[in-house]
Amino acid sequence: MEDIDEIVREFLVESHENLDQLDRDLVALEETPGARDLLSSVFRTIHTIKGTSGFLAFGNLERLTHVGENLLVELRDGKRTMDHATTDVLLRMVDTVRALLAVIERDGTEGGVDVDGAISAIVAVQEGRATEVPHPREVPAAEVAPAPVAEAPPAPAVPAVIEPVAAAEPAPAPEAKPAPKPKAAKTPRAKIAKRTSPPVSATAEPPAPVPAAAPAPVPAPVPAPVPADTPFSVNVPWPTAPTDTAAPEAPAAATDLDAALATAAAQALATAAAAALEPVAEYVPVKELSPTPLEEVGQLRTAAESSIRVDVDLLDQLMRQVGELVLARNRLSRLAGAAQDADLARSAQQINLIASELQDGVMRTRMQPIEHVWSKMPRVVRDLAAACGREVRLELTGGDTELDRGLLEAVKDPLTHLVRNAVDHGIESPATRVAAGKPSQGLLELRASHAGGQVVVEVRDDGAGIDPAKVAAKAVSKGLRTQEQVNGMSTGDLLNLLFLPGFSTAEAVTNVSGRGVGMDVVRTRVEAIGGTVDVESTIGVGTVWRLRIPLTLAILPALTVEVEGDVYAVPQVHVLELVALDSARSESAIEYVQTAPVYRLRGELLQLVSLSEVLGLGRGEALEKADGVIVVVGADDNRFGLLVDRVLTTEEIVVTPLASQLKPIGIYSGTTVLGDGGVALILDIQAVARRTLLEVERGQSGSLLSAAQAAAAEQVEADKLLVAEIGDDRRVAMPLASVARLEHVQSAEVEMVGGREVIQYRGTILPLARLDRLLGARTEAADEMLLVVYTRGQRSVGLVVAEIVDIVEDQTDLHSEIDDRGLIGSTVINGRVTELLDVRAAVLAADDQFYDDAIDDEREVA
Amino acid sequence: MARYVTFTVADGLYGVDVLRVQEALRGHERTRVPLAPTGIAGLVNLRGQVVLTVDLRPRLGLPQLGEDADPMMVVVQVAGEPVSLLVDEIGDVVDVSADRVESPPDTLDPDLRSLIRAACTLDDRLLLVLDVDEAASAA
Repeated sequence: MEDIDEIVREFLVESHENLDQLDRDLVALEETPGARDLLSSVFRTIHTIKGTSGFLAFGNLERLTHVGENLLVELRDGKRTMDHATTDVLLRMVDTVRALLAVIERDGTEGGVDVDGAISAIVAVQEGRATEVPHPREVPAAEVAPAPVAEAPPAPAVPAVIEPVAAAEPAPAPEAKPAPKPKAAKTPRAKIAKRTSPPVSATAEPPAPVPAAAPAPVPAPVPAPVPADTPFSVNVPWPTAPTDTAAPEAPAAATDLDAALATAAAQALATAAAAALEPVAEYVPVKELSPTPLEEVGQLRTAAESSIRVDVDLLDQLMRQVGELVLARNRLSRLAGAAQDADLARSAQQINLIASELQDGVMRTRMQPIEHVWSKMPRVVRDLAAACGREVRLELTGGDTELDRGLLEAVKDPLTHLVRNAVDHGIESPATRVAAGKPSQGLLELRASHAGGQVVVEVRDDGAGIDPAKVAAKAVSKGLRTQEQVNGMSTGDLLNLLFLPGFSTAEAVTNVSGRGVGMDVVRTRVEAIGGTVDVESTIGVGTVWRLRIPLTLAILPALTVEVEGDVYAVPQVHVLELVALDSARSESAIEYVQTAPVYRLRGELLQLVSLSEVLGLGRGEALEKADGVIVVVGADDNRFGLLVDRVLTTEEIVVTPLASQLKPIGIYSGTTVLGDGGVALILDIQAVARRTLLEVERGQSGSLLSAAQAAAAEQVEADKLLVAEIGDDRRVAMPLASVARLEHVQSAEVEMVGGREVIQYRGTILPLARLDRLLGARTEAADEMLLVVYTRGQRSVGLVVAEIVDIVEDQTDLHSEIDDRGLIGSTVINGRVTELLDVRAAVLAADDQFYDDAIDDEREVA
Repeated sequence: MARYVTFTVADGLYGVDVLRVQEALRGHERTRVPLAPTGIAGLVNLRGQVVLTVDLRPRLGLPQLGEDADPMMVVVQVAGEPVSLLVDEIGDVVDVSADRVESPPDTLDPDLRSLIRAACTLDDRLLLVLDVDEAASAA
């Protein structure tokens, strides 16, 4: 019984692979109806399933595939061309086959799946043809009818020989053997032929009737009723009907046989009947059809023989062992490095090399081309495009890009979601496209490639694109972000709002997408496997969704850090940068917003999380005094600083799963053995973020923090000053924080609008203020002007200066108050008195509405 | 007849089913696991495999083991994974005839009832048989 299970399992695995291929081929076939190789491939697949299902006594499956095969025969012989209806019924057949396989996989039977619907649909399409060209077909068909009858007589002759056996030996067992045997010999006749390629056409047909005769005790009456009832369906066996006939025919033996055997016999005879009829009805085509597919199958076989199926568990085990080898290697390398023994060092190096190659090789065995996931896409796109009324051409590039099968499985759903989304929301309806001057057929591209140790998968459409303004409005209306927040956001940031939970841009909920499970799920899934996803979009041109996925999960590059004497690993994918804290320098110290520690990093407030506190190790000492390193990490949308004592190194670590007792802690994602033999816990940065950052947000300090965050851009870098010369050898200093850019422009480009000087700048009008005139200095007109561009929300102004001198730290103690127009004081910078510019006044001189938009009235240029 | 690997924790003699024991060995350097339940004594590297160690003392109602203590380890198999139990001293493997295996005394602390499977009266002292799964859960 074990063996049978094994065979069935292999059949299922093989069939599932074949069906994916079939989906792809059928859709491709619809595009290029004449492609013989595709047709052959489709035919071959169906034929294989039919043959094997007959062998394994899956009657419904065989019946269904047989009908499908008949239709395909006509297609292949050029009797009909591939059209939409044909594709539909064939795809329906594939779906039904898949459903049958699923049931078989579940309980080993094929009950509960309705095959008759699909069968009658196929027959209907086939007969549709028959009504179109009835005459030439009807004649031979009519001739066929008597033919099997004529064939029938020789059959009863055989039972005469066999029956004595049955009579002499009434035990069911010996009976059982002869029955399946000829079946085995006949059904896989293609297989036998395959192995002995040259005599293909010779063995393919003539022997067929011979084994057909073997199980003949019963077939004799069967061929007769079949052609009589349905002249057009001569090729369609009716296994159920023969079973009924078979039972009374040989009551003595049949009643003893178990049910399976009865069906098997029935099928054998059904196939026998078909085989016996085929040469008569379609003699010429059969002869023609056999060599082509069989030769191709022969090639297929040789290709298949170059690879073997390996149990995934075995591969996983190998992978683990290689992981341990890598660890041992790391240890060895370390020892060899310390020992200063040339021979040892050489050996260690060699081991090093071999281990690396071995690791590489074993990892490759788990690799599968991304095609395995993509194979489903043409079907998805076709069905969806039809449902949404889109015309979509799908292009797949880089399908041979490989990644770990576990990861492949994990990206399947996100990728499918993106594809569906692109068809449903990305690509416009044909009419809209034509109106926009695009071809009516949209282009959807899937591209995969390797880049920097990652696999990059792009889903690219040439549709309408995503309007960041709409995204912003939506985010505000859904209460996900405030108007103030979106005002200051760049296009990229706005588009990233799409990944927020609860965000869906679909105007209407369709059954295709937009059911609330949106891009946030995509992102969660991708990030769960250490990947990232982002989106780029240009209105009217299209959208690109880009997934970055690590090559493998088992080995991951990580940063090792030390806290309170313990070592922890931070997955490198989360690490953005490292900032060394120096408690001796007051400027870089940690500050507090309420109780939440923050750090000023290039004009932004970075929330700090002390790792020792997160882990409950903190001794409660003040953070300001800490010497240490801030590991700036990114997780989800959050960027925060993880404060650690020391950063050790980056290394490739082998992830071992966490003991089940430790999983509830929720801060660790795994463990690893380090090069020195110690064990380190791998931090789950997303979990750390969720735990610590949420606590802050829930608390009072949350809102304060966001307010501080908003003010940070101008506040934090207020201690840096931009020093510029404005003429007359006068220098002014202005806070660097709100300076957006420095620009060189030609004086000739300056235009006048209502008495103000403006310049066209990046597609907008930039009002100018000349600091020299404002502050009463005199300069000669130059051909080129230097602009200090200030930006606030959507508005920008340019302050004209003569020369940029320096950027310096503000030394507040040297300020002296002078009350002059446009100045707020003066200070000494690099030994020179430098005036402090009242930026607000200067900016207002250029654009008096600059501060009118209510971004944050509290905010003021200091 | 039952066969147990015996060990002492504090002054008590305990035993676990010999078939569940993978090995007994000297203590390894442990990596502590912050935020873990009290019974979790850390992780050790057992020939390249990361193994969880469990301190039985809190579960037995005893004060927790000091960080610098150097206990022995009894590595048992729990659901296919090795778990190391920290013990003071590893004793003999003893055979106990069935008539000497009794249910734990009624006076036993109710908290320990799920942990102690049986009490065996040896010639000189009492052996408490631990439920390995319960002991390793470190709850």
